[in-house]
Parts: sequence; structure tokens; C-alpha cells
Amino acid sequence: MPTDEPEASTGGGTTDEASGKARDLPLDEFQPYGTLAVTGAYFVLLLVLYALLYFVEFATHAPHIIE
Amino acid sequence: MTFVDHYPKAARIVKANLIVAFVALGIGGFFGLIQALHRTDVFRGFVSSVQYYDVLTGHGVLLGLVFTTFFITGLYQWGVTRTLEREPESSAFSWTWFWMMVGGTTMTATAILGGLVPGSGMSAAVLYTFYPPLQAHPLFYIGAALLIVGSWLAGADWFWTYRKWRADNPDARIPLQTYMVIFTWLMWYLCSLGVALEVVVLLIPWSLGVVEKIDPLLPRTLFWYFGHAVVYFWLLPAYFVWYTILPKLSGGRLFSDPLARIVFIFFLLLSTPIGYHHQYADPGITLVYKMWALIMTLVILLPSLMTAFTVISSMEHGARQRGGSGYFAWMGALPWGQPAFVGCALAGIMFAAGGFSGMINASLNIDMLVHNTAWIPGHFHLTVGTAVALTFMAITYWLLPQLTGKALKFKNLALAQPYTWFIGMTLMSNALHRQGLAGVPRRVAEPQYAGIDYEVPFGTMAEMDWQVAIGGTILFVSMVLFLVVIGGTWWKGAPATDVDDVIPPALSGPEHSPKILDNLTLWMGVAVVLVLIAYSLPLAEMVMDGLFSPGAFPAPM
Repeated sequence: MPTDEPEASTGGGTTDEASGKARDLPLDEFQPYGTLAVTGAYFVLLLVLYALLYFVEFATHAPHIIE
Repeated sequence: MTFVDHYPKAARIVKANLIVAFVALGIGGFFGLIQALHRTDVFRGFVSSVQYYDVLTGHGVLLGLVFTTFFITGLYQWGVTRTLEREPESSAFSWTWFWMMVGGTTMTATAILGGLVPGSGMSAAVLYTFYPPLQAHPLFYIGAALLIVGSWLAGADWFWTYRKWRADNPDARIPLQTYMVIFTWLMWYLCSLGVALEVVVLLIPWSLGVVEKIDPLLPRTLFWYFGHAVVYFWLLPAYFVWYTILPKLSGGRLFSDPLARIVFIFFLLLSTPIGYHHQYADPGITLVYKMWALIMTLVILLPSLMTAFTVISSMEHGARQRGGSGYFAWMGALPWGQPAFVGCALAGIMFAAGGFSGMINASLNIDMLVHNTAWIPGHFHLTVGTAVALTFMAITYWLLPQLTGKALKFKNLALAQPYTWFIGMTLMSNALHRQGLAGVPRRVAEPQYAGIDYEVPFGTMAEMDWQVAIGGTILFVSMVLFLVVIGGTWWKGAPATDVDDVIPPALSGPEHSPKILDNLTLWMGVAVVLVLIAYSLPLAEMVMDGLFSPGAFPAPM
């Protein structure tokens, strides 16, 4: 029965033809720039949407002392 | 040789749990279609506007509590068995908790469906949150209690297996999947205690007429003590899938096992003490505790952002192994033609959107803009309704051959299913969010009022109603596609010759982390302390307000 191997590996992983794998990418060679780009873009989107909700939807509809 | 061949006893238990989950999904999903058509006034022929609330309760309970709980117990039984490599210690005990949960579900469902049968004398139109003074037939509460106690016994079953495994492996690190099961269930024990107390001590005696009046605030508070953590009870099994299986489906490996462990510790610690953020509009709870809940809620965004990093980097690892490159172009190299991967990936994208609306809900001031509006169901249909439900459906495509020894049938339908769910939810959820901003209330059969024109921020009310109705219909069709694929595979699937069930090890394994991460007593202790800080004083105040002298119960109305 295949199970998780407890030890880490910096070498190749399990060969799985169904995965369409073209090469083995060990930990030392893997630089997740794409993850940085995607999570960074998401973070910017969160900030923009939050500002939109706060200043446009919330603040403009909230009760004001000075109308 | 796959799971069903190695562990036939466990496989039977897993399959039984999944069957109940999918029956609940079918009924609850149909109720969802009725609601989408009814409240938008597209078609009101299924039920009356009074019965709408029975349907709404059925939708919430059957999907939010029954579908999720049974799927999770099935999934976790699979995870514990395969990673500890042990059959359940006692089949009789395993079937006991299963049938207790089934019995409880049957009682609760009977009480709910009784509301749709004239003259049945039963009703449970108390919505998913069953706040007093809304009162259900006692069967509803007794059944809910049995479902929860059954789930506690399921956890005891897995701890039993874990202890046996630990005796044989005194120095080994807990395998990641079992680690996730244990931490989910520690959190579940801690949080479900609140709803168990609410139901057994307050609501059952009240529904039986033993006590006549009930304090509305205490049951609400006990419900939300459980009610936000239950969100993570749904979500952590989806994380279990995203961390341990999705990297493999992407063609890669989990980026970091230690990060996954830290994330689950965070959720054990922080899930329960933040329930007040569902009670921002409740009088009787001081602002101090609401602010505390706000801060803790923003802190709990951290493990979800850590999850985003780990899961996306694991997918990127897979994409690069498949030949992907660039900052964004690597995503094109992912296996967008494989249903299990597609479902999990689209669920993750929807969860990112739900993260934004969740931040709005969590903000004490901005929440007042959307509190109890259609924004809220818009939000949780992205989280539990897609991040969780779509992940569960998608991973079933990968699990079922392991559980039945049969190859997945109707693969094209299976591939179409997550895409249709994504389209349907995009239509329905964006419209619900925008309706919420316009002030359209949630949980209302006919939110059209004479003389009231909603101020729509952008778009039109008619356009949004049609998006809800069409989106809800597409979601229903998607759910039917899922059930057809699962039913077809189960009963007509050809024997599988080469079942894909290998999960490669993490790039960075558990030996890269300190053993203290596996110290269950320590983390449970810290979690209890945080709960005591958040809840002891307010609950004591509410209890002293009259719990033990029924004549002094504040009247509900």
C-alpha cells in the first residue's frame, strides 16, 4: 500500500506517467516566483477591493455629522 | 491492489459515510434550487412562502451539517487508515458511531420535512442557526445532538487507532494526514461542546415544555461559540485535500509539511474564541469582546494566507515539472483536463474571492453595511458552498476508484461538473453580494416590498435576480452531473486495473520541523486557555442572569 514517505527528499519524486511530468524539480532548484506573483496580485486586489468597500460603499452610506 | 483491497473494513465504513453524504447533497441541493427560484420570484410553485422556511432549514442543515459531517468522517477514516496502515480497531464500534449519526440525521430530517406535510404535527422551520424563540419539534434537537455525539465517537475511534499506532511507533512523527485529522477533531471537540450544551441543557427541555421561557442571548452565544469553528470543521478537510492530494494531482509535491502542521495548530487555537464576530449586532455582549473577536479573526487570516502560499507553490512545483514557466504562464501547464484537479483548483479560486468578503464580514464597522443581508449567503456559498463542497465532490472522483475498485465512469461529465459549478456560483454569488450591498435581506421568502426600491450600487435588481435564479439552476444541474457520475461509477463502473493512489512525499518533510509541533497536549491546552479568556466572563454573566432559576429567565419577546 503506498503511503506518505515520512522523510523529506531533495531528489526526484514518485514517477507518475499520468501526471504528464516532463522533469524532476528538486527543492533546491525550485524558486516559486510564480507563487510570489499570484499571491502578490491577490494581496493588491484585496487592498483595492477593501478600500472600495470602505470608502465608497461604507463611508458614503454611513451617518455623517456634517452633511 | 488499492485501498479497498488492503483495508476492506475501513473501505466499507468510508463508502457508507459517503452514501449518506451524497443523499443529503441531493435533497439539500434540490432545496437550494427551490430557494433560488422562489426568492427571486421566478417560480413559486414548489412550496408556499411559509413552507419556504422549512426548505431553507432543510437546505442549511442537510448541506451544512449532514453532507459535510458524513463526507468528512468518510474522508478522515480513509486518511487515518491509509497513513497509519491499520484497519479500525473494532468494526462494531465504527458502525456504532456511523449508525448513531444516521439515526440522529433521520430524526432531524423527519422533523424538518414534517413541516412540508400538512397535518404531520411536526415542524422545524428554525433555519440553520435554530435561534430561540424560533422553536422546533424536539426530534430536531435530539437528532442534532445524536449526530454530534456520533461524530465525537468517530473521533474517539481514530484516536484509538492512533494510540495503537503510537505504541508500535513511539518515536515516529505523526503522518501528515493523521496529524490533520487529529487537530481537526481536537478543535471539533472543543467547539461542539458549546452547541451540545445549548441543545441538551437549554433547547431540548424547552421544546419538551419542561421549561417555558428561555434566554435568547445565551443559546445564540453558545451557538456561535460553535458556529464559527464549524466553518473550519468544514474547511480543514478541504485543506487536508489541498495540502496532501492536490499537489500530486498538479503533477508535483507538497512544498512544506511543517507549514501545513503550523497552519492546523493555528486553526485549533483560533477557531473557537472568535464566535462573537457573528454577534456584532447583538446587544448584551460588550464591545470589548467584539473587538477581541475582530482581532483574533484578522489573525486567523494568517493561516489561510499561509495555506494560499503553500498550496499555490505546490501547484507551481507541479506545473514546472510539467514544463510550465513564467510568472503567470505556468498555470497553463496544470492539468485542466482532469476533473479532480479542476474541481480543487476552481474551489481554491472561489475561496480567494470568499476571503475578501469574509474580511468585510469580520470588520466590526463595515459589517453593519452587510449584516443579515444577501451578502452573507453570497459569502458562504463561496466558502462552504464551493471551496468545501466542490473540493469534496472533486476529490470523490479520485477517491472512488480506490474505495470501489472501479474506474471512474462518464469522465467527460465529471470534467464538465466543476466548470459548471464554477460558472453557476460566479453568477449566483456575485449577484447575492451586490444585492446585499443594496440592502436585500437574507432568509426571506419574498424580499420584494411594496413601496421600497433598493438602491442598487451597480446593475439592476432584475438582472441580479436572474443571475441568482440562473446561477442556482446551473448549480443544481452541476450537482446532478456529479450524482450521475458517482452513481454510474458505483453501480456500472468497469473494474479498475491501475488505480492512481500514490501520494509522493513533501519537498520539505516533517524532520525539518521541531517535534513540539506534534505535542497534542500542549496545543490543546493553549486552545482551552484562549477559549476561557474569550468566553468565561460573558458566559458567566449570562448564566447568572437566570439559568438556574427558571422563573427569572428573560422572556424572549
